[in-house]
This record gives sequence, structure tokens and C-alpha cells, in this order.
Amino acid sequence: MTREFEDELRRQLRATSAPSLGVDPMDIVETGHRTITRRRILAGAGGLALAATAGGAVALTRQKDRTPADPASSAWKTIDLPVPGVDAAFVRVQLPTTKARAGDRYGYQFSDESGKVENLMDGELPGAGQIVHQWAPMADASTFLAVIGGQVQTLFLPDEEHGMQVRQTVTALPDLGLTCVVGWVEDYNSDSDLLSHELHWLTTEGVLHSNGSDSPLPQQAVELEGEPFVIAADDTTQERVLVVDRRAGVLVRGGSHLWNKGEGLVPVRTSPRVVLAMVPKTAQRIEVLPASSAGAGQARAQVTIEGVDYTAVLLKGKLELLWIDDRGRTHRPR
Amino acid sequence: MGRQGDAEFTEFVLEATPSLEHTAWLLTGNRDQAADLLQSALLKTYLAWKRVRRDEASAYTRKVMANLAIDTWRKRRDEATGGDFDRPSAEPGPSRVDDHDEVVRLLRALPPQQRTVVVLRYFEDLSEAAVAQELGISVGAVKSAASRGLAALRAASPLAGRGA
Repeated sequence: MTREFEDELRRQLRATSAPSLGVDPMDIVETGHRTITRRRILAGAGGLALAATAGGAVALTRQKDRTPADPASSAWKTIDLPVPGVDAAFVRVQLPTTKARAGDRYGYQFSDESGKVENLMDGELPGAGQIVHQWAPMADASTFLAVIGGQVQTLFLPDEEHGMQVRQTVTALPDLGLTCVVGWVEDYNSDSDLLSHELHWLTTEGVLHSNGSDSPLPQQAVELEGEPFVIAADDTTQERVLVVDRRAGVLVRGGSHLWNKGEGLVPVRTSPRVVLAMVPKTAQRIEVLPASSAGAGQARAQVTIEGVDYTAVLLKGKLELLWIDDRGRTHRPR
Repeated sequence: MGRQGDAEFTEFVLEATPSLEHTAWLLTGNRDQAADLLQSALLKTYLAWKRVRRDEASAYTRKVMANLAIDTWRKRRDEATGGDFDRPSAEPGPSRVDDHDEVVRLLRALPPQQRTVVVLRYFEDLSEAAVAQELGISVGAVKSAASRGLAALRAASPLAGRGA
């Protein structure tokens, strides 16, 4: 009897007619965009809201204060950025216009489509070269804030598909005589928070700097077949070796902690010229070789950085980064 | 999410909506609540889209919907009764219930967990183990809820005369 009742119940349930609930996928996508945008904006947000001036005079607006910030000082630079998917919404960023130092304050607000202004966060500008965080998404780019060369810089990065990957963008800062390479690991956790990013910058003299320090990295410039490279040792970002193509401004990285698991080399990025690879901590020498090489051994340059010998080899075509261990064995990317 | 992900999600929603609407309707018996439930579950699915396998998206949304439904009822029940989750629903029934959907009215009279178990077990045709996994409860709890739900439906239903 129970089985018969269960069968009848199944039949009755399937015979029910559900009303149309008017679900519009575009509404959900738009709401999703807004939710992600908001999470990104709020990621890492502190409790205070707005602002600062260069030169040390600090004016703060508490988060509960919904009054839009009105910086009186001409030292302020205000930027309104549109928020994709949210009509009439914008993010207003206020920054010092003159030279800023680590410890100066910055801030920004979010205004939704109803015009309600919300003070999102402020913070202290970090030390040179450190990225504050992703603070405002734009239509096709995200924006990072950094102090480089003693000035506040906004760096725009293309906003592509999510998922764990390494990406980088090159930004010329001619006023500072710098080429900045912002690389980041785009890996979002369940709350869509960006997990990590990093910044390197190259002066016109070809001196490479990395996260968190004004001091140049231990490095050596090399020229291979007329192409200028900088090879640097960098442990500050858990990377062993950085190789920069100075002409293209392309950074060749030695991996990141997310890939730094186990032995061997793992390709992490391909540019038109370079295949990037992770270098194990035990690396003794580095060779840069083309994957489709017509013959090895051309245009070699010997490099010694902090007592570690590297051999850079450049051939025409696609390049590949190899690791040669202390027994002379060559390891290729798996 | 990028354009490709949005397009894939949109395609999924268009394809899965009729089935998901039916489940939402049976879980709530109320059009507005069903719409809210489905919208919320689809939004959560969208936010998790890059981690959801395409062939499991419907199951993922249904699971979110079932748990959201119980959470919502629990919250309302806590507010109204001080937390007696297993009592029959005190909410007003749907404003209009077609005679054909008498079973929806009867379902609505069940306590939330029994109602959800019955819908997943006898409408979605999930096994007891699958229901347990979706709701994060034991198989024994599923058996108990299904048994009590069936008993209540049989006692109150014209179905009893046909099937029992």
C-alpha cells in the first residue's frame, strides 16, 4: 500500500502546474555583477572612510557619515569611475595630487544608482611599490593604487575571465621615467576576493625594483642578440629569478608561491617572445632557450647574481626558461 | 564573470528554469515566495559559476534552493514561534490553489523539513542518500521525515483513497 501511495504521490506532484515565476537571467547576471563588484570594492576595506592630504594634514570622515567628502584642499585629486552594470553608480577616489609618502592617507566612496553615497574605506598609503588593493572596477579594467617613485599611481589592469592564472600588464609612467609591470595571481576565493598581486617596476636605466622596496633587486643587465634583458634574483616575492625584457617591458617571472610546489619547472605564462617558468629553490643556473630552437648555444651571457651563476641564452623565436642543476643536468618544463 | 561565463549562465537559466520553477513552487506553494527562492538560488549559483560544473548546475541550484527554503522557514518560524522548527506551517496558504494542485496545499501544511524531503524524494526522485547529502542531514533523518510526511499526506489527502 505504501508503494502504491508513493507512486500516486509522484504522479500527483508531476501533474501539478507551476506558475511562471518571471525569472529573467539578465536580471540575475546584472545582480551578480553588482554583488561581485561590491565584494571587490569592499575587499579589505577598513572601518574608516575618507581621506587625506599630502603634507600630513589629515581629514577623516567616519564610515557612518554618509556625507560625501568635500576636500577643500587643492592638493586633492578626485576621480569618478563608473561601475559596470550599475547605472549612475560611480566610485569617487580621492588622492593626494602632490608627492605622497608612505603613511599618508587616501580614501574612496561608492555611490549607487539611487545617489546614496557610501564611504567605503580609507587607508594609509603603503611603502614604495606596494599595491594598496583593487579598489575600483571599470568596464574592462580593474584599478590598483600604488606609491611608486614617491607618487601615488593608479594602475589599470584588463579585467578578463576569472580563475587562477598569472597575468601582467605594463604601464609607462614617463613622468617618473618608469615602466611598471603589475603582475597578479587572479585567484578568487568563495567570496570573490582577489587573493594576491604584485608589482615590479623598471627604471629607464633598466634597474628593476620589486614589491615593497625602493632598493633595486640584485640584478645584472645582459644583452642577447641585441635584445636587452635584466636578470634579477628576488626572494621578496617568493620568486627566485626575474627576467625582464627591457625593450618590450615584459616581465619574465620565476614563479610564485602558488606554483612553488615540488620540483621541476611549470610554465605559467606565454608572451609572444617568452615562456615563463617556475624555478626551484635549488636552481643553480638559468638558461633562456627557444622552445623551437634551431640550435642551442647562441647568444649566451653569463650572469652572476649574489653568488649564483646563471647562463642566459637567447635564440630567435619562442623562448623557454630552463633550469640547470648543480650537476649540469638540464631540466625542462613538465 | 566574463562574457563567456555570462552567456553560459544565461543559457543554463533559460534551459533549467521550467524545472526549477516547478521545484520552487512545490517547496513554497506560493508564487512570490517561489520567485524569491528561485532568484536567490540562481544568484548564488551565478556567484559560484566558475566552480560549478555545467552538467551539475541544475543539481547545484536545486540544492541551494532546498537549503535556502529550510533556512527561510526556520528564520520565519523562529521569529514567529520562538524556534519550533518541526511544527506544521502557520503561514497562510496560497491565495488561490487550483483543485488540480490540491497536493501543493497539502504539502504546504507539512513542516518545512518534511516538505522538502517529500519534494526531493518524490518529485525530484532522489534517493534517500542523495536527499541526505543535499540537505546535510543523516539518512535516518530523511527516512523519518519522509515517513512522517507521507503519513500526514495520506491522512489528509484524497490520495489516500486512491493509493492506500
